[in-house]
Amino acid sequence: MSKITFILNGKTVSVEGNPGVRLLDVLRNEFKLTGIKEGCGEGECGACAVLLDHKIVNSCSVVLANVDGHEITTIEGLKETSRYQVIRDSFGHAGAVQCGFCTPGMVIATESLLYDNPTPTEEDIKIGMSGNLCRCTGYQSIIEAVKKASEDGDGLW
Amino acid sequence: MVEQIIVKSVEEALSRLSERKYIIYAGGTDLIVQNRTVSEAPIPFKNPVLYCANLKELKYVKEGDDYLYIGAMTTLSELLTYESVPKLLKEAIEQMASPAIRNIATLAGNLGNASPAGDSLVPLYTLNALIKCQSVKASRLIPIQDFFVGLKKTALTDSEMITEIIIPKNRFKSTMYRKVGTRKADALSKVSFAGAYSIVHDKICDFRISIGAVNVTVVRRFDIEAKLIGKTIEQAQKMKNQIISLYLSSIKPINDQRSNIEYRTQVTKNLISAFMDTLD
Repeated sequence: MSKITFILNGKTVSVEGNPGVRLLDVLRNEFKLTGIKEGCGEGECGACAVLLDHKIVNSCSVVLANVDGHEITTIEGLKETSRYQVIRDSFGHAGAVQCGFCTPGMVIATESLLYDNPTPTEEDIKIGMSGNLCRCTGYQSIIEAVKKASEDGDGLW
Repeated sequence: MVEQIIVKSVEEALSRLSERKYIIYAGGTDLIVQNRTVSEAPIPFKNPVLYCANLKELKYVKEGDDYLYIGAMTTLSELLTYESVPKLLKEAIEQMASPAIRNIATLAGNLGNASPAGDSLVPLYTLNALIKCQSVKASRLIPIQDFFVGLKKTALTDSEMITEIIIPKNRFKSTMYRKVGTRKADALSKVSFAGAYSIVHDKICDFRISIGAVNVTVVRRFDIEAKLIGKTIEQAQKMKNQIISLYLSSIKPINDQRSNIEYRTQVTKNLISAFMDTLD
């Protein structure tokens, strides 16, 4: 048993228990943050993406132990920011959402990319989104959405 | 449930390792996939675990006069931000997995996992990297080709952990890294390749090739490389077929879900040939 303390969506939280559980399960089951999805379960699809210290990670591939002392932001936490509004609108405008299963992960990947590089080239966008799979859109509209978010969100990142 | 400890210092980690065998857990992106069972279940590790990812004292890149020193818990993404990290290694890291994995995965983890398809291993062989293995009592610097002793087997003892990766500063005329996989991101290599050479007074003075995923460990043959030292580019080009067949005799590719013997052999040939064509 261990006590793991971290910042979750801006609030300090503690979890007592097995440190060898997946961050994904803790977020969904303990904190009822169901915006993140489990897709492949082995770090290849990005549906479970969250931000760890403002960088994208797959919550299915992170154990709770490694989160100790860090800051986690999920799609629910990101939703409170003005940057999220820009990403949401640009995804809507570009038609980058169909079934929606990958979308929370795609939005997290967009935030992680733009936080690191507010003016990405198309190649930067492709690399930034390379760990996130979408079975509906064919990706072009997602790339356009990220481009538009970068333009419309000028100064936010 | 096995004992699981979040260690607070390297000193604590080493002292615990002196008492019993532990799984040393860094980023864990391979360990979690290898040990998981079903969704929502805690990972059923078979041995006690030391969680080491948050050891700040092992997160660094330091530059000395002749060597570059990389702390074992430095993530792959962090390595990409240092100018001093060699281009050959950066090219390999940029093609490893995805940003989300690179943000937590480490070089030491890739070494400890000891997969013959570990992508960072291939440039580290070519760069003559040294692996620092530390125990409570002593530390050993092991040349990378001696660190891997068999399929998924390393020279690391149960009481040791990798604390640092040391890379000699090399000035090559040119280097070449290639990864052949099925998808651009998140692919495991069918074959990977890291070559480097230098030329002085129109003669080859340094020539190195490392090939991954074609044998139980990365293939690096100092004896074949030596045949090209002192040769002009023209002489080297004439020896190309001989060199390729020497390498082919030292690879032992397998058929698996990612590729097959014929493909891996042909790609190995092509990559050596392409690298030798870059001699200039």
